[in-house]
Amino acid sequence: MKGIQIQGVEKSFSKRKILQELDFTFEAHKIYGLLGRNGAGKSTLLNIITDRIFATSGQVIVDGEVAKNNDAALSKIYLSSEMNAYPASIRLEKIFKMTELFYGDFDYTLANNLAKQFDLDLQQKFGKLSTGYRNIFKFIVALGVPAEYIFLDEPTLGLDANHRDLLYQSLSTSYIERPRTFVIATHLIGEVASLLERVVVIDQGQVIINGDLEDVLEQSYLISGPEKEVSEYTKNLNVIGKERLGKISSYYVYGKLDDECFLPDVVTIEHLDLQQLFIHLTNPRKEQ
Amino acid sequence: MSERKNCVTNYLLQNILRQLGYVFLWVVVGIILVPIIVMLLSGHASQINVVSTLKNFELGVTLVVILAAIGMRNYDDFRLLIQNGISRKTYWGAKTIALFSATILAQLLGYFYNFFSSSVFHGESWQESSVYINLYGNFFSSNILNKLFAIVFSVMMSCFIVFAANLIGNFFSLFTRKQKYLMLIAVITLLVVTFMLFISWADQNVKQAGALFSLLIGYEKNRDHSGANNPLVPFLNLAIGNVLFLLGNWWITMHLQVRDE
Repeated sequence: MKGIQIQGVEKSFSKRKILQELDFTFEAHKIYGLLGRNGAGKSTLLNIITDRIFATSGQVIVDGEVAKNNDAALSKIYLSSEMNAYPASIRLEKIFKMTELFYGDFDYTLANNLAKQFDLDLQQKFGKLSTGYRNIFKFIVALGVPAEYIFLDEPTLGLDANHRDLLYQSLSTSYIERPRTFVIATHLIGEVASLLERVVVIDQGQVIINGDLEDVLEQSYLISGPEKEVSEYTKNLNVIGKERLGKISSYYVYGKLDDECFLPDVVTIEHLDLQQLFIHLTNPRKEQ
Repeated sequence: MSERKNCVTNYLLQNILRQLGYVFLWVVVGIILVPIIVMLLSGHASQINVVSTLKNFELGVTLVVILAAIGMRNYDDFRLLIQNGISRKTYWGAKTIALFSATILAQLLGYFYNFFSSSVFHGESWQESSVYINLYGNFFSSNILNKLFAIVFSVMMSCFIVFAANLIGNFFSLFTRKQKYLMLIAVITLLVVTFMLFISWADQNVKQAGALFSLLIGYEKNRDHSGANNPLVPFLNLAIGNVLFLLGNWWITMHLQVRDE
């Protein structure tokens, strides 16, 4: 079966549970957004998937094979993260060659073109790069490797707006030319939302949303109006947040609306964007 | 061997040999060139004896000591390889083969150098300076067999040193930098205390200590004068030691994780 299955994965660090029995699948050839607040467990999950750290329990299956200690499975995965694994004294173009050596292939044309677009001198040594350029370089490697599953953990860290825009465009173009699975863990939800096909939201170590972005946003509502009418209309709905400005109350709802419930004229309903939904889903103080 | 393991082994071997060459150059500068420069500067140019330095230079031993130090550095390789989708299993196998190959190469270079220095500078031949030949060199009636075993013994001994260093480095890879410093202090203290206790025990129990030592090196009282001790015990010790180090390395490698530093 194609895809990466996360089966009952749990992770604890000195009695503190970071991930709690995760069970879901990253389907093949989709662009995922992996969202969560700081410390939600996103990077921990990515490190477990790529066998960099061990799960306390559970396992990761890549295209039907257990990933742990399995070259065949691990060669289908590439994770670009904050960790600087490359030797500081090596020139960037040598790292391309090194990547080709281990992965068996590398798209030099794409990598060289991207390096030009980002104004990245490939004669430089990895250790001399700034944080932003290190991330750009790792992103270029991620697009150049022949892996089927590419994980990008905070790929835009330290990048200016122009470079971020170029990064999103390059990712989109590369995906169209060679469809594969991208999982982007980021806090810049507004910027990345237009790229995503599916979204996974982790909160306090648990997956609270996993679905098509379109379906998820279709079920996300902002219901506004006088407090009494809004509260009456939403009493049987899944309210994930509330705001009040003078006499107007705004209720954030995730889930299906009650078609049989009467909607007063003074009450308005609109859809949320991904960032608004995320903020209210993961906000421990539901009422503001 | 799988193609992937082959690639990793080649990469690690090239890396080890590059580091070995680099460190060796510094050693040459330190051992040969610096004393010459110091003597020249201090006006003792007549005391410079390059031939004597080259004659007494133990290339094989020097290379093995450098290899042991290189073998202790594991975490960076592990981190790079796991970044590139290489499993721990493959990493362990490739690192072991690379270290083993580099050790054999270092020993061969050592023997070649010794042959060269004994022919050109009329220095000691390797047989004369070999501890093995002195203790076990006449065990077999065939001279060729004795020399062959001496070479195998030196390779096994070198592997023992390199794999032991690799195990120590691998063990420390499990911990963060701060933990490593604390553990290093604890381990050194423990080793010194154990050594002192052993010396104290050996001092009070000379006979037992002598028997233990004889057992470890295969010493036989009635044969010591002829250098015909039984090499079986030291060979067994080295073989068991090497296997234990490799198993220990395997176990630790299987538990290596990327640290959050």
